[in-house]
Amino acid sequence: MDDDATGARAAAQVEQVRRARLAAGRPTPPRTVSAASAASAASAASAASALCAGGGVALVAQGEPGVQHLLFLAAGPLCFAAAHLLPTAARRRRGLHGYRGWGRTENTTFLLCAAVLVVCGFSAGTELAWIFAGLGVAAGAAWYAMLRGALVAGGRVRP
Amino acid sequence: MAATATGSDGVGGADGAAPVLEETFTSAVRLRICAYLSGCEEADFKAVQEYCGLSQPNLSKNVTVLAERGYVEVGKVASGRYTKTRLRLTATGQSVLDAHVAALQQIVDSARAHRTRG
Repeated sequence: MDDDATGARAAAQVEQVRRARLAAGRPTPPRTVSAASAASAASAASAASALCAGGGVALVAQGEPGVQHLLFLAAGPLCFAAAHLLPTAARRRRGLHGYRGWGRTENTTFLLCAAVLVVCGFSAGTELAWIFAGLGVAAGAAWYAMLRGALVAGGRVRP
Repeated sequence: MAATATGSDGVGGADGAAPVLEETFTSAVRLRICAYLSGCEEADFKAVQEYCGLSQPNLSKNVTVLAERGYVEVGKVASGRYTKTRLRLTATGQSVLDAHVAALQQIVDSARAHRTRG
């Protein structure tokens, strides 16, 4: 019985730590937003960022070979930059500066994936455009889940 | 500064050793402050105050305790005509927090295993 109570208390504290870390890492709405719409505003900011990330992946392989393809290829990194800067700017307005721990790891992974996708997109022909579009949908969904804190292994606090 | 750890009031770990909890974090407020700071490099005093739902003196008191133990650094940055207070979790604070969370997780796992067996 006592073990159960101690376990429940410990689980509550672990959950508290998880929530605090996510609150510092995920995009947060500005202070002017009322509490009632805060959740939807945060969700909208994450969705906009995810749209940019997914759009960037889809764009790097679009267009006919030549100038058109290069223009799409240039638009990709711009979308990736927007996907990173949207949540970062939202955090900065909120008074949170820089990333630490898993937030930083996720950003580094995002940057590496973006670089690889741009290189792959550069040499991709029009026949791969649909595959990149599908990858874009998957990447956007994954980025959204990551920003909202849904990608946490086994429900444990990420170290 | 070394973490001043105390014996846990929790159940034993899987290997029989009792998980060790950090005394400073037995206060839920201090645990929440450090957990919040562990998600960013630095945070404005106001941001932490808003998240934790504390009054300014209350947060100041808790931050002083954490700073004295070397877990949090307090800095000032110029912002227009004013100065802003920024809080930062130190490397020591980060490692002590990680160890504390690991100990809590061990207690949770142990209690779960105990319940399953029983």
